[in-house]
Amino acid sequence: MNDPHDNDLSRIYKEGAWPEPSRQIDEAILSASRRAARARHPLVWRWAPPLALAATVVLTFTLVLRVYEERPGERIASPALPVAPSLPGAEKRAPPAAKEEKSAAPLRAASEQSAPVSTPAAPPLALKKQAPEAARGDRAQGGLEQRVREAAPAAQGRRSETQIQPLSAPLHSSEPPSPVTPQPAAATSAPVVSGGAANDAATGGIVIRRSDSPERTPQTWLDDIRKLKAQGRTEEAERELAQFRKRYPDYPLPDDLR
Amino acid sequence: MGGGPADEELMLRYGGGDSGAFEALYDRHRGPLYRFLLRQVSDRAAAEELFQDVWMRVIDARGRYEARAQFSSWMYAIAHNRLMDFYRASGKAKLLGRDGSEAALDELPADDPPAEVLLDRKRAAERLLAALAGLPEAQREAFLLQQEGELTVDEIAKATGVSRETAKSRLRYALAKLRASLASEREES
Repeated sequence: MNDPHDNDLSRIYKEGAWPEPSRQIDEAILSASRRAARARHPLVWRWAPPLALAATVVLTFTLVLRVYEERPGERIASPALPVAPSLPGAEKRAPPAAKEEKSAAPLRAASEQSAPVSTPAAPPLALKKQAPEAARGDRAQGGLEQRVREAAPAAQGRRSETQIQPLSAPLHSSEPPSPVTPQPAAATSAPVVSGGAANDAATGGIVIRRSDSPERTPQTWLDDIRKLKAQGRTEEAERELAQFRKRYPDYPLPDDLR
Repeated sequence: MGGGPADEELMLRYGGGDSGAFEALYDRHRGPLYRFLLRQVSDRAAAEELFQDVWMRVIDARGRYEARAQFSSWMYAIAHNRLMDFYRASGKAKLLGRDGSEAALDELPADDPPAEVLLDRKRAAERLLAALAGLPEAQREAFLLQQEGELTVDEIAKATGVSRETAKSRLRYALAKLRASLASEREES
């Protein structure tokens, strides 16, 4: 190394003064060092990284397992989507299992976007009842929407969400049911759910209205009968009324038409 | 530095929570570091403050310490940086005042040699300390790092952040000036 060095100077220097720090300073530093050593416990310090890693692995595994367990539900639900096209005119709907509905929520949202026929009003019961009739119906989509809109004010208060809910609940339990849902293509032959006091008892709060005329509701039908009467076309009016009674046996007739 | 575990090993053990390792380390370096600082600054209070600050930094760095460099080089580098801060805060470097040198002389170790010899040594040490105090800061620091820290020229260079040649040059100048100072004193007496 050949460092510059002078032994005489070193000796003189070392024979000189040896001042040292005071005891108080020593104590202060040593106690600070002990406190610091205690604060960072070696065991905790040593095991913290592996413990954190283990926790991450367990958490990830749990999540993966959970996702895997939920997938079978999706597998059942997803075939329901392609089934719809095979039923021309019928509404597409998912199986009513609540659990599957929960896990398939994002799927449903996507399918609603691509296929707006995911209806809250597609109950198995209603479909069964209306299926034969739906076959002969050739209503225009616009007409149906209009009828639903017409029916809305008439049944304010009673119809509505609470009535539709039993049908839509299995499918859309987390969504607020909409009393007026556009029923594009599939709705042309599907039953229309609307309010109506007369059928409440028969259908458990659900009024199923069908009419040969796509424009007419019971009320408008009755209005038409009134008009016929007013025009003196009594026979026609009687005939219409008979048909009306046949179609809506439980509908309470107004006094003027009894 | 004597027997026992190396400084680096002690510091690593302290980083692992062994406070006894720190006590051993402190015991080894407390005197040299304190004198290094005391002879660089003007008074005892300032030296103690710096001394405490350096050790607190060592304590704080226990988790980050890696035994790549020698512990004493690393510790004196901290001390050097703190000294620079001190100089910047207090203006120019101050010479070692009477307070420091007198206190130092009062603490001369008790020796068996005759009183005349003792007195002679005491005077020689006093002259050396006075000459040391008159050196430029960088040269004084290089000398103290060699004497107190027992650092080599390379380690002095590392601790003070200069090249080896600069450190060597500083040390050489310091030794030459101290020698000349002692010689002139002898001639005068």
